[in-house]
Amino acid sequence: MISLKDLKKGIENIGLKNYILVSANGTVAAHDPLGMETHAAFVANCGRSCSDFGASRIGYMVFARTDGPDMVVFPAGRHWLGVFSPKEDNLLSLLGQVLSITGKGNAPDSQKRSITESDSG
Amino acid sequence: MIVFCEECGQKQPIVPDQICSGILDYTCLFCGFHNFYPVPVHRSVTVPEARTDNRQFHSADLQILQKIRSLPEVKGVFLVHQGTEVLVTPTILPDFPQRDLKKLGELLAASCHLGRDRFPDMNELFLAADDSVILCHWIVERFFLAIVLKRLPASGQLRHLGEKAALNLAKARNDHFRNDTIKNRQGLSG
Repeated sequence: MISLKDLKKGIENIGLKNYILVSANGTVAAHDPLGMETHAAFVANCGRSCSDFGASRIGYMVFARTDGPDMVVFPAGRHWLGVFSPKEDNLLSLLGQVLSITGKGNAPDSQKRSITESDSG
Repeated sequence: MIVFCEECGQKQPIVPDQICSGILDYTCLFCGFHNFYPVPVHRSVTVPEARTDNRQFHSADLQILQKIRSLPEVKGVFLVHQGTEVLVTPTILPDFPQRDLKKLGELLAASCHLGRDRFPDMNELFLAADDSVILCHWIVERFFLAIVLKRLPASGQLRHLGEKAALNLAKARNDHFRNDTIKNRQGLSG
């Protein structure tokens, strides 16, 4: 399971913006920019709703919107990462980048493969 | 046959033609809740040939689901009712054991509610779970359409069809609910 330190480092390395990282109880571990913390409860609640099904089986959740940026929520170790994807075109690239840092435990190989294939094709 | 309302728990009798393709569809006479869930069908129960509102409604549902299912990028389609698990499964998902479908349905329903509460303009939910990506549309209260994709991205045709299907299903259910309520009121007053 990825540690919080490695997670923050990974987020920094890929230059992620418009994100919030929260623990299961809603505590904000990191966010960028200011204002993203208003989404902490939402992201934590998404995490809680996955508990019965099994968070380790979830790759991501995309809340697609008509009038605003899509919100993508990822399980990330003991935390949950919420990211705004500004353009639909960037969604696959965002998924690929974040899944690469959250670790294989939360994203089956076939899921990563399907994204990679879609990107290349 | 005696059934119990999911909302208020009152028992009431139903007639066989309220069961179509193994799905019970009726509005509670006590609280007005629209019950819609699978029930075991005995061989001795025969559904009358006469076309009723219920039959037309289910036929329209299945046609929409089959149309979506026929797209090459789609692995399966099903309807979810929160609290009563998966309702219609033209194709059972190969990657999900049957016991997981209830949990998956609950997760989709909970996530849709959360998303719509937070973002009123949310129109679709994509959920990647195990080896599948599921596109979920909210239809009406507690009722959802789930489309299992082979991979992302979903084509424009599929997204358009999914949205249209959700709207049609919502309209059908609202009309059906309204007709049922009128009939029940007439029945009670008569």
